[in-house]
Amino acid sequence: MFLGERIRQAREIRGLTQEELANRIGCSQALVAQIEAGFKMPNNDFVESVVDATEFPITFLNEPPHPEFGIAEILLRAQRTAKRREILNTVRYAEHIHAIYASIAAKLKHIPVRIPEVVDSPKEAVKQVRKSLGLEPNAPVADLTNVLERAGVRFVILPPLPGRDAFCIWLRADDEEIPIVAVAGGREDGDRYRLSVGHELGHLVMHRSFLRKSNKEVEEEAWAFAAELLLPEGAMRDELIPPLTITTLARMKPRWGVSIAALIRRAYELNIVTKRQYHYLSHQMSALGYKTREPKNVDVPVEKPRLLRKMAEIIYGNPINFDRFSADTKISASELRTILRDYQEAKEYMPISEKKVIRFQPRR
Amino acid sequence: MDHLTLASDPDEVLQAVRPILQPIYEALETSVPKAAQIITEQGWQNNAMLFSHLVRADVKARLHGRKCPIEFDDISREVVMDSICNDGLSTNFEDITLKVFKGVVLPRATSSQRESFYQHTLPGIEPDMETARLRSLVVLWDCDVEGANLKIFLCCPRDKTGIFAWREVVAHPSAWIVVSRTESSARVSDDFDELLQGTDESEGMGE
Repeated sequence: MFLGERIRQAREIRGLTQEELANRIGCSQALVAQIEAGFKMPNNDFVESVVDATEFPITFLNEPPHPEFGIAEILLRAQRTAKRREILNTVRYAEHIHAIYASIAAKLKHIPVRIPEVVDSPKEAVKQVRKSLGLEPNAPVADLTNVLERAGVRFVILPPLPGRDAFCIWLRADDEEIPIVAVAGGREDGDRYRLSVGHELGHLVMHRSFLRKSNKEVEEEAWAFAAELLLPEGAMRDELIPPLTITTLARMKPRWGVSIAALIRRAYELNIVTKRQYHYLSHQMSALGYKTREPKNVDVPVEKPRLLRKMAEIIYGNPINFDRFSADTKISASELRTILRDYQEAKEYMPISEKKVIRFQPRR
Repeated sequence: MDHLTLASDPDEVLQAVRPILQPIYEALETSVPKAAQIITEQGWQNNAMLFSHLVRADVKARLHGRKCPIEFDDISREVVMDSICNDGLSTNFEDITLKVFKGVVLPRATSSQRESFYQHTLPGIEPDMETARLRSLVVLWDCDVEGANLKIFLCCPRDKTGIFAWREVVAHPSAWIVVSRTESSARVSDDFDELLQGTDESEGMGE
């Protein structure tokens, strides 16, 4: 009964068009369209060909379709350069990962969602969010991903493809709404990752309901939220004491988990440096080659979500029994293994309280 | 510093003098744009002498009495700037004299003091590169008229003509910072346990 719809989901998760699937299985695009729309029932050969082409087990195709995200608001906020099909593929992949979350979450205690809805300025929104998350008003957020996961946010790591950075959504499931943040994986820019997550959190907090605002306004609010969350004004006024140099900013980078460029920008936004000083520092960044690549020694490690793997470990043991995991989720064990690589293992886990120590390189 | 000679690897010398190079670099990084800004704000006509004089005066004020970082060799030191006319920048680090000049090449020695500084050994004696102890170093700094594109070199002079034994670009101090993260040992559980546990299926079965 659901087979056609499930075939469509399988195809879209793999990023295939109807025509591409038809070519792979040797039929017409029209036949694929009719089957997906439920006008025709596929025969066994067709289903087996779909299994081969999509690498999903047949059991996956016999399951009811998983919930889909509302794509309209994601499209609305997407980068103008991103193609609709790329966005659709990204969203479908995120739904696929979230279906795994949902399958395990049903067997575990529910993590209460502590992401408030705030219709106010980004600064006020951050104030309320920090309070709700149990964060000090002016302290660095050491592991933003971990903090948000503990507040009920589910992270989806997207495959590393161009044009994908991050998106978020409130997913209505049964009688609750679950905040989901999807972020591009395979990256080395931990500072950019944190800024993207902060930006998406801004959307979750401030743009949950429909607002009569332009896309530009909404995006600017989310960036302002991320800046205030990661670099609170109060703390910055205490720490960004002029004259600022690239060296002093580089020292601040690992503790605050943002780029030197973001610190310069923040100092300018808060009028701590003049326009002239801002341009000078930006020019120095270019001259040092830091616009392309900030110094490696002060790189911010890329945060990894933990929740999905942790949930699987609780249900399927540690090490995870992937055969049982696969039987329950109807996804092959090898694909589950690949997916979980993006999620932190227990041994990688570093509690929030552990501090980063900064020193200079010792003599050789 | 006794082991450093004129033949020492420049990189070894750079590492050895980092505790003094870092405050010098940071002072220049601060004073150069400040000098450019003062000239603009005052509406003065910019010229190399005025610019360089303002930089020297500000660098000298910033450096004198400043603590050197102890991260490199665990030795606590304070920068003491020598009293030189015209706000000349000169200081001592261990038994090495460091002078700070504007430009990308060593200026020719035009005074007996400068000759003696360049010489490392007694005047008139050609130094033996292998054995002559390193006694003098020059920090050269240069930038464009607006104070941008600051470049800093460490230069080892060889004789009074301004010939140098070597000249190396000084890496920006931000590239010297090392971030140590406390390593956490392997854990069998983490702080999600309290949030997720408490179900019938919480007993996992290993692979």
